[in-house]
Amino acid sequence: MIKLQNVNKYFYKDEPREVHALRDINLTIEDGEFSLFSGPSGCGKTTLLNAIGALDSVDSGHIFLDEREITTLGEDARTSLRLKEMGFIFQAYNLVPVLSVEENIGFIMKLQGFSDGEITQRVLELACILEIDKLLKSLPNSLSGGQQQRVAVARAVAAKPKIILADEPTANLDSANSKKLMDMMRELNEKEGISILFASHDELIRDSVRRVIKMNDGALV
Amino acid sequence: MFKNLVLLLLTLPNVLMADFEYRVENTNISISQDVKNDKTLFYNYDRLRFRGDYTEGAFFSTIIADGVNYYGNEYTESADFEYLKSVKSDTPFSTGSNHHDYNGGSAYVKVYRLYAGYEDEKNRALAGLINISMGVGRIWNPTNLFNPKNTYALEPDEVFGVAGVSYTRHVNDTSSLTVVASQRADDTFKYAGRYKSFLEFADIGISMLSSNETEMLGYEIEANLLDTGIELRSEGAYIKNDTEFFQGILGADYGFVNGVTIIAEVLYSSKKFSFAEQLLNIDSDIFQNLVHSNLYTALSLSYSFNIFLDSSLLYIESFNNDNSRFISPSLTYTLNDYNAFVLSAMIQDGSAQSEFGRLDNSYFLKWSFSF
Repeated sequence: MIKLQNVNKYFYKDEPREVHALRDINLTIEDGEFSLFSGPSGCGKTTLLNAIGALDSVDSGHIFLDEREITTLGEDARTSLRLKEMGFIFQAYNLVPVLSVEENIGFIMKLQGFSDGEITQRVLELACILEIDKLLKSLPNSLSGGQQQRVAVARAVAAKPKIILADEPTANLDSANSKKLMDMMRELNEKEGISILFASHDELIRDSVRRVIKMNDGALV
Repeated sequence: MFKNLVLLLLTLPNVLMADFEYRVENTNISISQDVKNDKTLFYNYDRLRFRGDYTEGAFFSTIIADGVNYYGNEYTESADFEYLKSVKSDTPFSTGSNHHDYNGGSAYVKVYRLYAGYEDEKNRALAGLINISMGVGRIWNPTNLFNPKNTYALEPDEVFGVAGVSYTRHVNDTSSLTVVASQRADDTFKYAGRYKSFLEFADIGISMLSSNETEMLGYEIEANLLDTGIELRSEGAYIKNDTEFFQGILGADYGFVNGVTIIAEVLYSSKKFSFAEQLLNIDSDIFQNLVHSNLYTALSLSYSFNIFLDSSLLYIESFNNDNSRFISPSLTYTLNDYNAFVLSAMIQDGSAQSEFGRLDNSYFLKWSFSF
């Protein structure tokens, strides 16, 4: 469970151009949620996603992952938290160009010290679900955008994190590929029990998730 | 005040007698990199380097400082550049500034070398940010675990310095002992020693290295093949890290009377590593030893057409499951003592999944001038 209490975040604090990016956010996200932060551009949904993912610090308030407060963690502890308990999916895929599809999917598992046998088995399992099992030896640059994003999803899911944070994952995909990706992510959410949080203004995602958390001007509405 | 004045008067003659030389050099490289998805990145690399050398009797000191600028936002926003930024010197302090990203590029400054030393007929000592050189290989140096060169880089010999001390004692006319120690980024120490003998038939050395992650026992040999003019060399090491393996080279070089020089080298590694393993060990002191094939061969040819024009070709073949190759031809035009131009390419050939085939081709024009 993720719990946010009175979370505030500013950009350019105490400068004339100060932006109050997150305003007194109070929110609880239960285990296994499949939810969307929705709202217009600049409303703070990516900022909130980054705060939950310990990618960004906040100026005040508390964020708890289960019972642990993550806002007070040092940089090493935040890195470890992101590595072991979170998965990330970005609009630009962020795959490692010199690694094959199977190496990209297994990379986080390798960082965590899983054995080669465990990695191979898990990579194949996910590749079959995401229908990229024929592409395992390929390099990212030879894949379509939809295929690359499915590799990014497999990589995020591979080490079975508690939560996956997906920032505009369908922004570079056509509607057919977006639909396919969302169906697959929903299947992974139900099958693996991993919480998946999206930040997007894509209507297709809004129609696929079980909960929509609306935001405007840095606040929940 | 009086004491300071006396001190100044005592030291001033020495300072005036001392020899200080400096040199400013600018290296500008325009690069075209073919990215695999039919895209080409153009960017420019510029390095303004200041070098100052101070000598006084047997004592000397050197500083080399760089201002570096990358221009071309497609490159500075790429994953390649992010990777480049993440590679730091293995020193307990930062040797450079953070990158200053601006519209279209990224710039930083760094101290490349900064050391002081002493040298006489029997002894040589160095301390500071230094380059510790080990091994005799021309293309690869598997025994150099301090600051090994990157054979496949634009400038292979541009390597980070290490924060360390080095002491060499010439035990007699034919042998020397070198001991070195360096402090790493995690504040642990790395130690090494090398004993080298210059015998009648060959120069032979043994070396040992120990750090908190690695143990190494190595050798190096250089010899002339009878009176043929062919020089033979070999170096190798048994390396124990998370894994244990042997890595070594065997090489030869020969200079023909017509000016062609040829270097051939073979690299053998009892263990090969994946790209993922390499990426996961960026900070390891065996990073450059994490090769992707058990066997490589390299051929380097160079030829001087005249005093202005030189050419060279480096060809490396990787004998992996899927053979691939690295080919780097270059043409150097030396305008005068202060200006030189190099036109070169780094071609990676092989199937898309092969070691070199998965990397990008690059073409570049380099202009170096100094004053």
